Amino acid sequence: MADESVIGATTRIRGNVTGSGSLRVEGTVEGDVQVEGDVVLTEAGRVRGSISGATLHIAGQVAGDLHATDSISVEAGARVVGDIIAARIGIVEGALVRGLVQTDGEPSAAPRPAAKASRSTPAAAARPAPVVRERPSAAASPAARTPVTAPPASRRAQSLPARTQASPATKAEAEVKAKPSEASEPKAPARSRKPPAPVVPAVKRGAPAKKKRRAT
Amino acid sequence: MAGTVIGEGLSVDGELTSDEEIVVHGTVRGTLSATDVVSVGTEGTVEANIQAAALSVAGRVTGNVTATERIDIQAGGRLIGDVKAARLTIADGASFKGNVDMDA
Repeated sequence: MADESVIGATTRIRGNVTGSGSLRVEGTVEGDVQVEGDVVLTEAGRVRGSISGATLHIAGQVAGDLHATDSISVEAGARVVGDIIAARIGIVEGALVRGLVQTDGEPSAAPRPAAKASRSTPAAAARPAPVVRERPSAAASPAARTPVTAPPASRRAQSLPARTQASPATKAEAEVKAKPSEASEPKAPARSRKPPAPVVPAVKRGAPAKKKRRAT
Repeated sequence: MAGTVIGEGLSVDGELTSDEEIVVHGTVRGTLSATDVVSVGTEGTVEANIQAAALSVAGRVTGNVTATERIDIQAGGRLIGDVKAARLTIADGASFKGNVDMDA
């Protein structure tokens, strides 16, 4: 019981909060929060500073970076202005996120159903091949990506904020996967375009073949 | 149920203000200002001036404390600092060093 700390709704801390155990913030913290356990930021909670912990559940407002050793989940109604860096990140539809979103390591098995959902969208359905091709490269080093979908993870992720508000996808990783399929769309019209028809000089019916005059 | 609980491993460096009950089992350094009851648990350490409605000390408090109602220093508690309250109890076994002003 001494491990679970609560910062109540009417409480305001102007300074840093550090330590072990888990923490639930229902009030305001103007400073950094750095704990070894889980951090829950309720809807009324406000943190003006970075939050660092094992697992973060953010439903309030944060003006600072989020770092977690395990996972971060940003609930609907949350506002995060700052970077989100963790091994696993979940951003629910309706959350507002502005900043770098970065996961490390290989994508786990969990996002696969989300990738199938993106496959069913009209954009991705027509070309499953590029989606499959892009995914291994997304997992591998960003430098190895082909020039067409060149943008490295950080730059691509920075355009994520605009997409989070508009896109129906629920997981950040699904959005990362859906984007390559959209980026490869300009190639499709080029593929289905037929080679231009050969230009044939018009020949009137019945006209004798004209003989070329040779200069003598 | 207390509104704000500073758990045993937690450390707050800075100003802490609240309108609800505060229980400190960890460490608070800076200032602590509340309009309700403040309790410092046996493992709690407060190195700050405390302003509260009522204060109960079972841990270590270093700083001047002012309460609008009462201050109780429990057995095993240590208070080093000036006390300003209308009512005051210092239990047998408590440790206290400072001035007392009960002129409310």
